[in-house]
Amino acid sequence: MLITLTRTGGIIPITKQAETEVDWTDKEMKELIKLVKDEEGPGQKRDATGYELKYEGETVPINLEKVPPCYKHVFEDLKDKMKVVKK
Amino acid sequence: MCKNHFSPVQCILPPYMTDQLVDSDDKNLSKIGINSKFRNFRFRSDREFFKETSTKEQALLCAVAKKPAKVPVLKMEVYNCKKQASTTGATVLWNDTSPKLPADKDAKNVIYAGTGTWKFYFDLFGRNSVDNLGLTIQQYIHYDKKYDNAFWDGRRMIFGDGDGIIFDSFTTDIDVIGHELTHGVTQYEANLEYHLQSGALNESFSDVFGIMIKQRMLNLDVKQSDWLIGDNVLLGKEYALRSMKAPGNGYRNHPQLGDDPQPATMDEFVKLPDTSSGDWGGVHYNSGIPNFAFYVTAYNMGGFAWEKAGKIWYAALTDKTLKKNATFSDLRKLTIKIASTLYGAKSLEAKAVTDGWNAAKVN
Repeated sequence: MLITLTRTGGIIPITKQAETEVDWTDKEMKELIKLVKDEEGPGQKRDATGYELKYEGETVPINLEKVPPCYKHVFEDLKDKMKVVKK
Repeated sequence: MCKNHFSPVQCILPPYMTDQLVDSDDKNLSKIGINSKFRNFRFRSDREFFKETSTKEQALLCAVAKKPAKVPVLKMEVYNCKKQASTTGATVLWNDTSPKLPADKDAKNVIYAGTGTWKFYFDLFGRNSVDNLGLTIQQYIHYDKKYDNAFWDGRRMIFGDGDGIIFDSFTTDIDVIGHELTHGVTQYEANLEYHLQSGALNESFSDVFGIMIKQRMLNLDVKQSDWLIGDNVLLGKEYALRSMKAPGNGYRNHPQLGDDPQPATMDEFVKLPDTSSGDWGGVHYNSGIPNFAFYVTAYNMGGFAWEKAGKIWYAALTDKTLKKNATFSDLRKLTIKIASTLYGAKSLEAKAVTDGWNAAKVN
């Protein structure tokens, strides 16, 4: 399964992206999304960045701090590989 | 007998008693008697004196010496996130009681600009910190690995080190630090909703005060200032995060970022989705419009921006009639009204504010 991590927002609004292939099952993915889904608006945060996870046509806002330890390395690698999407 | 016989107020003995005491064979009692007579005389003469005084004289004489008001002082703490994407494990690197500055360059930057920001608000507007109640300014540095951003999380400021390729450390510009702290001021004042036009105003107030904080710390007037936000943060001599003087020209043809997307005028207003990926309706895009209005206003007034234009914008930010969902048009009306009140309806200052908004094509 191809997953894409996108970072948006910030003091200048830039978009950064990285993708990778994972061998997670659909069930695994559903459980992960349940755990990391971020439905909060900006709240009192200003200039903050936010992350979205795209998989099989779905795009879900996620909170990286909620990623369980067993998946952490995948998201850390994606974060390291992120490149600015030129507009 | 009165226990406190040395107090003329609490121990007023009638004359026949003091006379008896004075005549006593006991030297100690004689002494008490004569002292009491003397005090009684003084008390009566004081009373006579006060009877003749006017209300004003009485008020002056009776005024209780007030305890000198506690002078507000800056309270600040700097934390090191040690490249973790969290503030939980951060350690204190410096606080305002530390005897000397830390060696860390980013810590020095945030202390310097944070102090300048606090002084800006206190010296010019009598404001004691972000909340005007002396809130400790907390600055977190070295957040995450190569994190290319700075933000206000509702309680504190957080700064990344930048990737070193496109962005330098986000502590390198005074205006960026002033920008983030001003988000706190806005939160405690108008608390402008962070989306659509009110969100763009929220962003603009941060740029407006961020640039004035830099101008004041560097003693730059409206002509000397470059009116650039994040001139050092975005690497490359010809690049800055934003230009208030010429929105849309912070960076042009940047190899990774392309062109600065900010509009300067209302007819170029950018419509984006009200989502994180849509920059909450383009809050960092459309802030170029009120930024330009402020620049034109301040430039036409001349001198130091904080003296008149800044005063008007601060009065607007702290005005109770500025609603959370205010539009550009609302701020136009309010700033013109404030300028008219402060300087007169037909003053050059009121005209400068009107011209500023007209230049940004905001009606």
